[in-house]
Amino acid sequence: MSIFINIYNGWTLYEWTMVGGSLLSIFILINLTTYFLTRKIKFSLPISLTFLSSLLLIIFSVFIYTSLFHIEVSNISLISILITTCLITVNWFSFIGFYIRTRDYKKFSITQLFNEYRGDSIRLIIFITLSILAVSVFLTGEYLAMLVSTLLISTLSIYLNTILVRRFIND
Amino acid sequence: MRKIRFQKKTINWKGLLDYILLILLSSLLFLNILIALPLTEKLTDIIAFDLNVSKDYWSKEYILELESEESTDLSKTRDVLFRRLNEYGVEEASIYKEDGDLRIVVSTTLPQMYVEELIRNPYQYRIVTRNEDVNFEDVENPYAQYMGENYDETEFDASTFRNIFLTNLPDSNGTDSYFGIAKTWPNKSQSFKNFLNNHIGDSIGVDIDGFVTPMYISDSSIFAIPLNVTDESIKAVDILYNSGSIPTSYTISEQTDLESKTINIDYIEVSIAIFIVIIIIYAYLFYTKIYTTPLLTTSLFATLLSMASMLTILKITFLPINPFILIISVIFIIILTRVIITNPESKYLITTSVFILAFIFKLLGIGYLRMVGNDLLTHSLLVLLCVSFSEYYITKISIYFKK
Repeated sequence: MSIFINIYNGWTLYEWTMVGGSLLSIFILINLTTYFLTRKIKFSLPISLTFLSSLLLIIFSVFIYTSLFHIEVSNISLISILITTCLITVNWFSFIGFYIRTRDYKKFSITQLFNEYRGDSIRLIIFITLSILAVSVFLTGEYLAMLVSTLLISTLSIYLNTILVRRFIND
Repeated sequence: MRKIRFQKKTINWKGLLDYILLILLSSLLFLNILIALPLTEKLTDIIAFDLNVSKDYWSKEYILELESEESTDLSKTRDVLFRRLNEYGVEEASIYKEDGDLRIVVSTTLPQMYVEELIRNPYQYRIVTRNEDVNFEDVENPYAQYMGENYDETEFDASTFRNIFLTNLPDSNGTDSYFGIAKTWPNKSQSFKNFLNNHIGDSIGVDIDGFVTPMYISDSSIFAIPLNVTDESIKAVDILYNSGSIPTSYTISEQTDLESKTINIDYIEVSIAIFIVIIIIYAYLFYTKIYTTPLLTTSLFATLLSMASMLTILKITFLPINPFILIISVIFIIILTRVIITNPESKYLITTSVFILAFIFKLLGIGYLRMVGNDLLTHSLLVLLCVSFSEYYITKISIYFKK
């Protein structure tokens, strides 16, 4: 707990406002865009939950590599937020794009949509894993910890989203 | 005499132009790759193009002793100082409250002189009028006009102005100099104008941390503060004027040089390794049959082209790049290219969303977050452009090969 208190005290109000503001803006924009494109509020639920759980995972990962691996946290770790958010967004809008294109087809099936999305997400996870692991050989310390935790958080969040999509979106 | 008849031949202009266009595009492509490759800058002396890798980090710790002991003053000072460093582009800055003092730790590649200017100066400024008891014409005291104690306070200080707009204007000698045009808050505009009207023909001053810049008031419609700055220092001065006012004075009681924790990566090794890694990833994808061969070919071509273009832009513009951010950019380009290629129906949606996301982080991010956001802005557009180009180029070139 003291780690989080230290992080909280170590940040200025300006930092909290700016980072919080950027995350809140992205959260609102993703939800608004999703609703605007699909006209269905239930599409916003999985991405909102994924987004929030990824933030919790980032906080948890900071706790892990500070307390267990004794790696000092600096501003570098913030890049994790950007990469994770970016990958979740890219994965989500590839799903929305596919849904918009196929929803008016006569043979449109929600099960096929889920399967297609899950397959695409798994392929993306493989690709992210290969790309990040490949460049990780050049890194050490906080840089390596940040990139590996980003990999874990991103892949977990993307896979979680495929489960949440199946849970919340059904005809 | 017999007439010579030439056989009429119809030229396929469209085909010819397509052919010429393809040759031009291929030349540009080779040029792009040649510039991007490591060490190719050594091939010619005509133009210097090399990757400007920011490696020279310096790191320092400063302890600031504040005059005020109020907790709100401490927090406000910390906020304003962090804002200054962030707006200047300092990569890593942390400010801690410690027993009523502030401990600032910076690690950056930016010029130390200007970063320290932002930390050292509270930059508390106010408008002052000449004290009638002081002789400003005294030849034995030529500095009288610059000393804050020789002036009387007025009601106008940093809180009067919403912004000081820095611009280049012709001065009384006819040469261009920097001035700060003071823009007042609407509720204080009239009283400040009345003050200037009452002092037309007088010399007043702008007191900054006890040192005064004298000003002669000839017109009440504009309040332009003369600035003694250079093109290099203008950004720092702009930030000092416009990043909020520090509520209390302070002094630096201690400063210590720290060992900067920099990432030591040889970009040539990284470039070669990344190229091999991309080939291995695509070879793996080819053998696992996850994607079709034409899709993999286009994806590989677009990935290499995007990376080559990114490196070419960085080399030609000579923009400084942190090696770690270069690695992040490479990961991002590899992933985004694949996503756009495999989801053609969503390519504009994906690019726009990444662009907006990057823009938000560029606007609201801090330190590295802002730097990566800034890079993603251009990379997202670059990847879309390279994917479109690759699709067009491979389609066209395959037609000629099939012929």
